[in-house]
Amino acid sequence: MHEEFTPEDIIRYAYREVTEEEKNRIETALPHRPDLRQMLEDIEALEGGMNAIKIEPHPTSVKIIIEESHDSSLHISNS
Amino acid sequence: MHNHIIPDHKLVESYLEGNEIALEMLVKRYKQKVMTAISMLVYDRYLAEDIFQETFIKVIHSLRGGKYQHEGKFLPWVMRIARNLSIDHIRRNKKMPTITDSEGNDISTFIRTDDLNMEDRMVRDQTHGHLYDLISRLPEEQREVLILRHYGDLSFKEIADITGCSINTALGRMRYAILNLRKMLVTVTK
Repeated sequence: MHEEFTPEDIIRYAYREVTEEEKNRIETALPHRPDLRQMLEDIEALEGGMNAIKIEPHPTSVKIIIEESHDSSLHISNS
Repeated sequence: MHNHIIPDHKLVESYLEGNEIALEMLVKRYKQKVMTAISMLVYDRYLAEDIFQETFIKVIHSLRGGKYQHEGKFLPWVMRIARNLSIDHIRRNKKMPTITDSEGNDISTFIRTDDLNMEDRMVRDQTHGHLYDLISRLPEEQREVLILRHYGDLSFKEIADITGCSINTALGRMRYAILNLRKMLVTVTK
């Protein structure tokens, strides 16, 4: 008889939000639960895909932020 | 796991001591993650640029105003600000009255449409375009959990706190986001 785990447990496991004890129990159950393994594979594939999505801000946006920081620093030192 | 040579909290301390370069390093360290997250929350390149700027300007003022409490979590803090500003913009846009022409057509659909499509296409082509498109089709609540967990490094508990739901609801939304994406992928590849 294997312990019951939910897809939400596997999500917490995949995102390293389980205790060491839960982790060991889930790893013992995984070889016997193809549905949970499928969920884990989906999460890993999704993580890989999302890591590949890279959107850079326009350099002007970064420049505006740095200038704002500089201006607010001058404001503080003058007050 | 972040493995930066100078930890975030050291850069924050250095910035508050007057080292402007420290802020520049923090912006450069996280600009891509923050911009990607905002872009995927609002799906509008121009609006995402504005929110990106607003986010870091708010970060600067909060740091200088002593409103940042170090708990080793600079990125999740920035992402919370970005998320709140994104949601504000989305809600404000939903409340905006529609301006119609003499024939009753919504004129906002004619404004910058070509430009936006081109920009969005560029974003899609430069990135992992297919998944980017599929995530845009998820319900807002599911998309939000997915983005905050992945790019913002927020725990499900933190996501639950800022979105005003229980941790089980946040986990459930994540589960359905994964299931829906799988279904969409199966449909697309058929």
